[in-house]
Amino acid sequence: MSDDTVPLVLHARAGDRGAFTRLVELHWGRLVRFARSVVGEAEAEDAVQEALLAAWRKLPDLTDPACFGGWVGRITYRRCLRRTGRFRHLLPLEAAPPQAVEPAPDGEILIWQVLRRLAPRQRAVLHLTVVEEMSDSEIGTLLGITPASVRSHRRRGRDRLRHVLEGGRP
Amino acid sequence: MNDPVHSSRLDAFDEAFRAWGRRDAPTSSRQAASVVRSQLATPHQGFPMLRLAAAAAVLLVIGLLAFLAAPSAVPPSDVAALHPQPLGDGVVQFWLNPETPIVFVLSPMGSRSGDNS
Repeated sequence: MSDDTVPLVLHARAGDRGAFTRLVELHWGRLVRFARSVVGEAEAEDAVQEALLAAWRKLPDLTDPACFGGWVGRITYRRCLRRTGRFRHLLPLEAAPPQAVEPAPDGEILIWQVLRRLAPRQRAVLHLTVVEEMSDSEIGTLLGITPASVRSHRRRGRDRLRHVLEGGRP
Repeated sequence: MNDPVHSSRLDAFDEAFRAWGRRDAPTSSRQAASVVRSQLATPHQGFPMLRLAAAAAVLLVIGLLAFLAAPSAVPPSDVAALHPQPLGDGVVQFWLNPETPIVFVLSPMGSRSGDNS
């Protein structure tokens, strides 16, 4: 986290909306990219917006301003999980039988079609590993789980991915 | 041992996932910040107001319960003692409170003050 973020967090915590708006500008892109991998394109921005409003309400509870990035990421993650829980009956999750993913006409893999067949936690771990290139320890801190759990989610996610990419063959 | 075909599929997926995952958000950060700002409540005012109202309600309930549960100022058994009680001919006793009696001695008509014979 950059040094100039801490004063912004301190001002925002004291009720300065302008400072919080600047924090939103700084973190919006990263949070939407993360949410997109967990809940999909259609809901990502709504989830992040909800998370940021919740963060504003909870800001007085944030004890260490230097942890704002991870803290707001965790709030976003929980909002995303809540959304995936709400629409669980609509989304095929881990329990659903894997289906072959047809490549797009130009050979491009339709990423969300593949990702949505993983559990939300696996999607989150894979995003932070592959896209953000974070360490297991950093991922664990952000998601509120141990590094061992991170590795477990990633391994299961990889197995599931392999299964889906093979078209459901064992 | 990893199957090289499967590994290459996963590698290809990772590469595509990285490109997909790093795309910009549809809404610009400036526009998003403006939208979020317009929806910001005032937590530093809203929550204390709620807490204040809740505390006032609790105090009101406690005060009401204390008022209803408190013993009356004069116990029923002492009420009789406060009524005037004749103690003898021409002597009447009143109670200002359970500890304070007031005694009146009434002289018969025509007698002198202090003459009880």
